Amino acid sequence: MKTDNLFKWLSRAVLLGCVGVVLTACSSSSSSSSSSSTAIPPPSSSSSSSSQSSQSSSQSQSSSSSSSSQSSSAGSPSPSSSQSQSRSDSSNQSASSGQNSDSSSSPSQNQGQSGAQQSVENGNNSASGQPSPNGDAARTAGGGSTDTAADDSNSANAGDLPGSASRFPSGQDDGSGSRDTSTGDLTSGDRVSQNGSLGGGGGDYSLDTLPNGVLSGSGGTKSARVLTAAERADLLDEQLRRGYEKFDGFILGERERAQAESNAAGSSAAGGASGGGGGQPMTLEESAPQFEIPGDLPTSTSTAQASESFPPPEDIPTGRDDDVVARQLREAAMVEPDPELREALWEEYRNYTGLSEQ
Amino acid sequence: MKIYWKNYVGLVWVVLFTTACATHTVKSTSYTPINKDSQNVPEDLLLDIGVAIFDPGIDEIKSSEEETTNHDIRVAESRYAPFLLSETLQRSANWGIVRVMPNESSPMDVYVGGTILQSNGEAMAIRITVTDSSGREWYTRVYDEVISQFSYDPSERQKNDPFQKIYNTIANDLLAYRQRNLSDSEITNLRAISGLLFAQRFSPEVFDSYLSQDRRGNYQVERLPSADDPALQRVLDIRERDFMFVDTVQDYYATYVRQMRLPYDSWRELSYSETVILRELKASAQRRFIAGTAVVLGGLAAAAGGSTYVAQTGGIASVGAGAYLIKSGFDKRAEAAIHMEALEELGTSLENEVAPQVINLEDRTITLSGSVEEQYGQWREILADLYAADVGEL
Repeated sequence: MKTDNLFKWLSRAVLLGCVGVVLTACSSSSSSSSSSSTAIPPPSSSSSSSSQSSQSSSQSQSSSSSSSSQSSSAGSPSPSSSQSQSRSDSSNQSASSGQNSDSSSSPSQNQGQSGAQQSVENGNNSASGQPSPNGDAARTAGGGSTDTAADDSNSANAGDLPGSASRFPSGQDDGSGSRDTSTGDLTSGDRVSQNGSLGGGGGDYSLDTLPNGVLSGSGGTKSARVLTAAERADLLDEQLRRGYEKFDGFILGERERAQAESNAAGSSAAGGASGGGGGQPMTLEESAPQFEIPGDLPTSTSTAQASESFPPPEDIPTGRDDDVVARQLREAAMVEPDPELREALWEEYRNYTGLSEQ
Repeated sequence: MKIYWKNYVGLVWVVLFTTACATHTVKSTSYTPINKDSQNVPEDLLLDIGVAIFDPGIDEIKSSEEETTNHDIRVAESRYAPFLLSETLQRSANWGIVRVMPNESSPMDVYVGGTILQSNGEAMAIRITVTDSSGREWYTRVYDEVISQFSYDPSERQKNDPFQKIYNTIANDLLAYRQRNLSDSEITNLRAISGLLFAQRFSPEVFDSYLSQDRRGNYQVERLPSADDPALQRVLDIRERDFMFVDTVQDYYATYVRQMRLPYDSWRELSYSETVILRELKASAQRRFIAGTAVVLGGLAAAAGGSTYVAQTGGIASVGAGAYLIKSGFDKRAEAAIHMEALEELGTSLENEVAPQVINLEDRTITLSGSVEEQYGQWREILADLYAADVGEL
């Protein structure tokens, strides 16, 4: 009977010990889960919410891609289950690797939070060794945190402020710091990439030309894409070309007017032309509507007008030795459809080149 | 014998005074043709010339000409003469493009500046200064010409300006200087400097380092941009448009010259006549004053010292003749004053005609320059942005 009692007490003691060990194991598994996902035994189906958090945390740490898939799934309308909530929280925590979101403000202040932060840091450390995928992971994390904006305003702010991680203290991990800087802050990212401090950040460099949120599919997609230097040069060249066209139209119109007045002055001089001249020239602004050219038309007004050509009279030489004015007179005469005006232009050409004196 | 000696001395004095007061005017009726370069100069070795608006020379008008010189006409001439000079240089075919420059902002290979020292229809004097794009002065010379009435003959006038000889001489001197002093490499250098100066005007960030200045402030080419340099191509595109702007201004000047030619030539012809008459009247009056004074003095001497009745009577008669000469001198002076008034009236008449044209020309040039400069300013900003994009500063 004593023996039975002894076994009974022993079995109770063992049971209690087991329960204690299990409880102890459960409590320590949260802290040890960050070190290695394989070190964590699969939780029992009857585990508490803390074990669920541990599970989601382990999932987010086990693979970046799995974390990404979770984040993207979180972006979709998620059911309001405790499991999805905990997943979202874990996503927020992993997003904090790329953002300066205050973990204390995270709504899930559960037992495993410190462990989650550790896992984030460790994840960043491992990310520094693999720049390209980690770059993707960081971007995805940022997107994920933005996606959870509906649930967490703090996370939303963090997502709207790209590159806030660059404001980390200098004591932060260099690898994650530089990467975050490049992924978040475009300007500083440019500088980093120029300075060459972005070690092997080929994937991050492409981000330098794009604002935050473009790749993540967040609300940032509405912002304009930042241009590369070549694209900017092309735009400026285009602007210059449009300026040329506007100027050409203006100046050719003004020249035409001035030449007509000059011809009129020449013809009326014999009759005693008096002063006054032909009035003021147009300004560029005044002439702009007259000579405005649709943006997508590459041809200038002068070339558009010069559609038909008329051969020069027989007494006109080849014009190989013409200067600029003579050449312009010749060109104007050759495209002038009005015979009288054309002859007047040729006469002017003869006078100018001295043909009439020969 | 004593009387003869006194008369002899008096006669010598009269002759001396009369000779001293006589003026000799050499008038030219010859025509100086424009020299053409015997060699066929390649186009890339033709220097472009910019002729600046002349200085009217109002500060240098002589006091004796102050009354007959109309300042507004001088200002009008300072726009008229450069255009004729540029036309002459252009027709010589010894140069590239030759343009009257509305301002100094468009660099050219050679600059010709001038100051009108005299212009009255009969005589014209211009001081010409020639410099090149490097800043080196070629020379400063004064060209003057006194023409004859023949130059205003309608047949002659139809062909050339009455003072065309001056412009032809300037053109010939310019060609002679270039032939004597400039090698092909120096011409190429000058063209490069003017091109780089223009490029600096629009894109100083890119082209400042291509030129330097020596101790005397003359530009030197340090290096040349690549022919396919995009920045250079852009600047060359803009320079083509700057030439178009300058060409447009030439049309303004052409209109101005055509409008001014007829009244100006009429004024010059009338002014020529008046000036000649005025000069002759003034000289005649001066001669009469001197001769009359001498005769009066001789007559007084003869009358006072004459020992015979005949000598005393002759002396008194000489005094009377001298007095008459002096009076006729006054008459001539009054007549000259009438012609001077006529000249002033002619000047006022032309002034009323050309002053609005000058104002109109200036207004149009300034308005166009302002519009163009505004566009240039935008292009400068774009070029600066392009440069920044090229070096990755943006």
